[in-house]
Amino acid sequence: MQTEVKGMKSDGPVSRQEIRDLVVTYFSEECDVNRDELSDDTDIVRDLEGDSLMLLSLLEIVRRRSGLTIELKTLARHLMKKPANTIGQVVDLTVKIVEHGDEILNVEL
Amino acid sequence: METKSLTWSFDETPGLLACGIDSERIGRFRTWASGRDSAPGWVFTRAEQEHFAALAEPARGCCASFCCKEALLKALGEPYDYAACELFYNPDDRMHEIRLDRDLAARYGIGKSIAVTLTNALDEEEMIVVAYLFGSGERSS
Repeated sequence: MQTEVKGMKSDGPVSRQEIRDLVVTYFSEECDVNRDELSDDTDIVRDLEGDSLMLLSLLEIVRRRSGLTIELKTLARHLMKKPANTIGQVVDLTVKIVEHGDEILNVEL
Repeated sequence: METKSLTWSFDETPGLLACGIDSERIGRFRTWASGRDSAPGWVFTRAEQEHFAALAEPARGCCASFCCKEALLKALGEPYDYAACELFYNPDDRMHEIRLDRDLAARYGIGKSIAVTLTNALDEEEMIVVAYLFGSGERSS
């Protein structure tokens, strides 16, 4: 059963799989890596030479699609508590941002 | 927001509180600098976006601004609202303008000035920014 994620602008609920596809597509293109080489355990910094700028760019795409207004400081504080180092963790973070926006700090980690 | 000039105030002999450094390739900012509302509003203020959009090389100005914010983040050691620090890049080798929110400065005991050095790497496609924080270090409650 797919987990539905509320909050994205679309004709209906957005699934976690759709968010994962967005994340994987983004890093595949940014890092010039074949999608098949990416898994939930892929480390963004160690394996893809990714950085904070990539994460910000990805989240900007998500924000524009979902119309969210999460504050950068809020996001950064969440990341300090629960880092997003792998593709899987970035997917989790993105799902939480779409669902909770600025309330993400109040979500039990 | 109060404008703070990019000067060194030796009369007060302020202490160096911290410094941070960031480096980015300018080309990565071409999309964000490509037009109105292209840059994330949660990272760059409207004033910054209008400033670098008017430059001959918008991506360079956008990159400089972002690097300054990241360098300040590393100097502070904890997250802050990126809109509280603005850098307006000047391509003519004159001083770049920096604005630091007064409340943020007081919170960290930053004094009259925050100094920033900008360096372009040899190939001119990478920018390196160092932010120096001066002040008493006495934080406001």
